[in-house]
This record gives sequence, structure tokens and C-alpha cells, in this order.
Amino acid sequence: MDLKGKTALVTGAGTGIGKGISLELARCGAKVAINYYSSVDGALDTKTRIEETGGVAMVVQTDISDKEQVNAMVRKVMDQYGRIDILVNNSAYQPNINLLEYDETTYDRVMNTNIMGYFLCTQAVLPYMKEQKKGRIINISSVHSKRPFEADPVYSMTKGAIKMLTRESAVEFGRYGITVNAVEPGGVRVERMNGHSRPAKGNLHRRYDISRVFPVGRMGLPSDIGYLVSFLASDESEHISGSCIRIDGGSMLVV
Amino acid sequence: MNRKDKTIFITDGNSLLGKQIAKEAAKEGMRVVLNLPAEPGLPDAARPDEQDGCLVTDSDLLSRKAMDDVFRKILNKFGKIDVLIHNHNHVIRKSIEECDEETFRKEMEWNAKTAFFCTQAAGRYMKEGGRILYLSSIHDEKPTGCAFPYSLSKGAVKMLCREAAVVLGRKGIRSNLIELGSGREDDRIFGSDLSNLYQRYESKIPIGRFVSYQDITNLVLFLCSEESAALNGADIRMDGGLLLNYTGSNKPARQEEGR
Repeated sequence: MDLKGKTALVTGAGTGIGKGISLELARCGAKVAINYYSSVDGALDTKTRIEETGGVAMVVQTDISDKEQVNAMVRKVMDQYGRIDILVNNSAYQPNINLLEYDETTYDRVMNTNIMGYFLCTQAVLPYMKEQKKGRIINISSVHSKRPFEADPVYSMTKGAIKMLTRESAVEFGRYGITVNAVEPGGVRVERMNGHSRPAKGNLHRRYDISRVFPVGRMGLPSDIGYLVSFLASDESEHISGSCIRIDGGSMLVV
Repeated sequence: MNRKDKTIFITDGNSLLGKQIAKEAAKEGMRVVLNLPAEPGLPDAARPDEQDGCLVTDSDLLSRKAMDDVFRKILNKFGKIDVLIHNHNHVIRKSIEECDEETFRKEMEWNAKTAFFCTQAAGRYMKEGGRILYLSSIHDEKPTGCAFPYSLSKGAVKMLCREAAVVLGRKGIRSNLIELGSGREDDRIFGSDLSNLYQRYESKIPIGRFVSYQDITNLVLFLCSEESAALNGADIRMDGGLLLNYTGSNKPARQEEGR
């Protein structure tokens, strides 16, 4: 994919899938703004790896559930790069708590990060993409937008909501030349996340026999998600909008 | 289908649909608990009389403690709670571009957080054979083009139902969801310049008429019965087939071609 001359903002890009997406977007030629909340070392590592291969990147620390901070983040990216062509909403909080044990504070935190954050980032880049008469918004969701995930019911609720944010955004922003799509990863092999999440206890994760769970014979990698996001960010994907694309190695077909 | 002596809790007894379900449930001999939540912007409903077999509450659905209290109150009065109907629907017309943070948060809370707290309370107090029914909307799949926080909240409730079906299913509690659509006032509520869905929509409904409160109540009562025991985690779309038809008419497509 050729993304030369384009600028991307990726939230939650210090670790895991967000890091993989950032590296791939940069490999395709995009300048990348790496957002993080607490993973400063991870964000700096993403930046270094992009720059080592001749790419351009910046890091910006933001609590994406705070509107003022989100607006400040977008202004900072605009000041530095002059445009935003691609927004990848990726940050997520997944504490893995059982349905009956969930407390209100944790419920609110998951909702604020996983939904409010996506909404605020979308709203913040909109004026700039409108002016450019072009934009790509890619919401990273999960197979758990459709398939329940016993380990964390509120996480699934937020993914169900992201599906509808994607569709509503596609309807509302199509007239501005902006496409909006969701990517729904299944199991992806990532590094451990600084103790933010407890291990999941859902059925799928309890007995992981890779060859039986993934028809393609392996778990996903952050780069797999990066390849799909890069395509959706490219000019070639212009006619795709409002789609939620499952990327799980076929696992949801057999478990 | 014997539903006599089952206890049914209806979260929004102010609504016309809630009242219809309550009336029909009472006719079947069910014990009805009608909640009248205070909702800003809505006129106070006339408070129904508490007669034998009926209990009226005004619990704040956004308070976990209040939900625990009302479920305990129901257990004290009737000894059990068999059916939870979450019919709390609040629609705010806002685009993504113009919606403020607080409005978005409120809408998510009214529709999704209330459902979550109700589900938790049901999980704690219901016994085997219990039923949870979410009266939701076709807009958990179909975008509105005018009320995005509403459809997001309904997307969340859809996943809540599926989660509850797995977790509470093991306790013998069934959770199902009805996706309501094509009611008489829906064009006023959801009509949008960005969507053709509600343009001349009555003529697009294949069954040739709107879905009525009685239709919905009939399905609700079936889902309260023993005969529905194998339904769990289902999304039942009840829109007369509206979403399947984009020809602009309920006449056969061949006749359309001649226009």
C-alpha cells in the first residue's frame, strides 16, 4: 500500500495491536502520531523503530476519555504535520471481570476508554478531515462485537457499540469524503500489557489448542491487523465504508 | 401456556408498551411489579393503584443499590421474581458532529447502564427458570442517521444479552432480546435526511401494517412461558420485515419495475 504524504493518528500505539498498526502504516510511507496513555516506553520504542527504518513519527500522551486532552492532541498533530488523513481508534481497557462482580467505577472506566474515547477522537479529527474533503477512520473492535466473551461482558458491550459507531459515522461522514470501517481481530499474540488486564478466563482462552482454534494454523499477529488497516487507510479502499471486517484466522467459525 | 403466579418486573411502567404488557400479564394471572422511573423531560405518569398482585415502585435504574433494594422488596412480597422486562428506551436526536460529551454519556447510561444493573440484579436474585427480556430496537444493527448515541447504546445492550445468555444460562436463566421497529411514530422519532429507511415506510413493511403493542406483548408473553425454554441469547427482530425490503413498496418487485 502506498500511504506516502499521508498522516495517521493511532491511539493506544505503545503496545500490542496499536504498535503493529503504527509500524505498518509507517512502512507504507505515512507519518505516524503515536498516542499512548501510560505506556511511555512502548510508545518511544514504536517511534524509534519507525525512525530506524527511515519513517517519521511523533509521540503524544493523552487520556482519550478527556475531551480537552483529545482536542489538544489533535491540535498538536496538526501543528506538527499540517494534516490528519487517517485516524485509527485502537485504545481499549479490558479488566476481565465477571458479569456479577463488575463494580460501577470499573464499568465507567471501560465505557469511557472504549466508547467515549472513540467518539471524542472521531469528533476531534472531523473538522480537519472535512476541510480536506477526505479521510479514513478505522475503529479497532473485536470478534466480541458479536460473540460474547464471558471474561469481560462490558468489554463486549463496548465492542457492540463500536459496531454501531462505525455504521453511524459511515452514514454521517460519507458526504464529506470520509470512510469509516471497523476491524474485528480475534486472538492476537501480543506482549503482556503492563499489568493492566487480568488474564482472561473465557472458554476460548481456557484451552488453547492453536491448530483447532485457528483454521489457518496460527494466532494473529499485530502485523496482520496492520496490513488490513493499511489497506483501509489507502485510496484503493474508497468504496468500503461502514463495514466491520472480522480478522481472526477463521477462528469464529470453529469455536 | 401457563404463566399464572409468575412475578414480572417491568422497568419502565410509564411507557405505553410497559402498561400494555402489565395489563396482559395481569390478565394471565401474573403478579406485576411496575417500576415508574423518574425521567427528566417526561410528564409524571398517573400512578397506578397497587391492588392485589400488583406492586408499584419508583426505583432509580441507575443505582445498583436501588436495584438490589427493589429485587429484595419483590422477593419479600411475592417470594420470587421470574421475569425481568428491560423496556427502558430513551432517544436523543444528535449527530456525531454536534453531540456533546454529557448528552452522549447520559444516553449510554439511560439505555445501556440501566440494562447492565438490571441484569446484575437479576443474576443475583433470580432462580432457575427465570427470564430476562430486553425490549431493544432494530437500531442495534441499522444506523439511524440522526440519533447515534441511541444506536450505540442498543449495540451495547445486544452484547449484554448475549453475555447474560452464557453466564446466567448456567443458572437456568434465559436472556433474549426483541429488536423492535416499524411502529407508528418511528418516522417522527428517527426520520433523517441521511437515511431513506423511514420515507414512506408504512408502505415498505411487507406485512402491510405497523407492529402494534399487542404484537409485542404476545411475543413477550410467549418468552415468559415454559414453551420458550430453549430460546436463550436470541435476537428476535420484530419489524414486520421492514429491514428486508428496500424496494420502496410492499408490492411484489415485478410491479415496481413497470413504474
